[in-house]
Amino acid sequence: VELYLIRHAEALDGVPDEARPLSSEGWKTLRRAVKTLDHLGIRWDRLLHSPLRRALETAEALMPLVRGESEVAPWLAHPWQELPPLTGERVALVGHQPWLGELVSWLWRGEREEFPIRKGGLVWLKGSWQRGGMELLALIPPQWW
Amino acid sequence: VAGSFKGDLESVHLLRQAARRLRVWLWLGDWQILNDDLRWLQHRAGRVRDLGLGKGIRLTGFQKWLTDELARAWEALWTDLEHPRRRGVEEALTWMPPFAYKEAKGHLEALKHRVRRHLKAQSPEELHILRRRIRRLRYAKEWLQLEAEDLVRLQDELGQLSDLRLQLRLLGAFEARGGRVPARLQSQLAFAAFQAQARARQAVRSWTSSFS
Repeated sequence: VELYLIRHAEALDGVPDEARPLSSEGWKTLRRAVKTLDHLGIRWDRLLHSPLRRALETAEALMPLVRGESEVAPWLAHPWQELPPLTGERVALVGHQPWLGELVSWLWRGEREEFPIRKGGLVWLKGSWQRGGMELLALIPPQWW
Repeated sequence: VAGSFKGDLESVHLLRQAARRLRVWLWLGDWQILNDDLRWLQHRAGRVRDLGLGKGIRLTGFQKWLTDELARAWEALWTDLEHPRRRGVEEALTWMPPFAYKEAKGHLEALKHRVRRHLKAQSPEELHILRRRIRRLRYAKEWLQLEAEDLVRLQDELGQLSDLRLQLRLLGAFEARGGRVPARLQSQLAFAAFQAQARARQAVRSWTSSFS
């Protein structure tokens, strides 16, 4: 499986935290990201996203790259205990720090450690959906889009 | 959802209807995400709701078969309603922003166009497609707080045909499992469906003249 983990783009401050929308800069970052990924021919057969607004908007911006289903996945918005089953060959996950970074670390190094992902950034992994089962192919910070 | 967990058929109907309405709401707001999730929920509720329509058929062997099928469908639905995806849909909907009224209203013309393309519907299949298009237009107008009473009536008229056809399909499924259906019952239902089709076509014709 090819896995693309994307942290939500920059959001506005506000309360409650769950309802914070993306900033205009965040939307811009995502438009550039979609353009770049599209040029690279990246397509996903599934896109899973957290139910929080900034992740919903990030996922919405990425939808032009989805050729299959999108699915809301509450575990992407909370500390995860164990990996839920994953189906699909090219899957994108849109979520939050620190849990998204921990997931990268768990899948790549086999350890649940902090791993930096900037807002609007992407981590590209390939391998099997299990502890230490993946290799890191790319880490793309948002300014590279 | 709470009523569906209690085994209430009407609640399942409302759950499916809510999912459909929310999909129209997403469409009005130009959202693509959550559409697949709501469609999933709508389809999962569909099996129980469809089987529930068989309760109106008075045939002893069929009712026993239906009870077993319904029990299985309820179990499957309850499992799905426990799925994190269902809770995720509810949570996500909590944080969605409202749609912009003016832009949303601008989408109505596209829905009307889709209805117009099917106004000459004759066959049950064509009338079924028309009913779905009318339902989407109705929900959109209701979200926009526009008058939609005529669409409600038309949808009901077309719905009678759909329900009868579904009952015939249920009897067909029962027969395929070895059940026996009296020819007279099938003829009665088929004739009722034929009459409903004629009424539906007439209702569409009458309504078309007022549709702009």
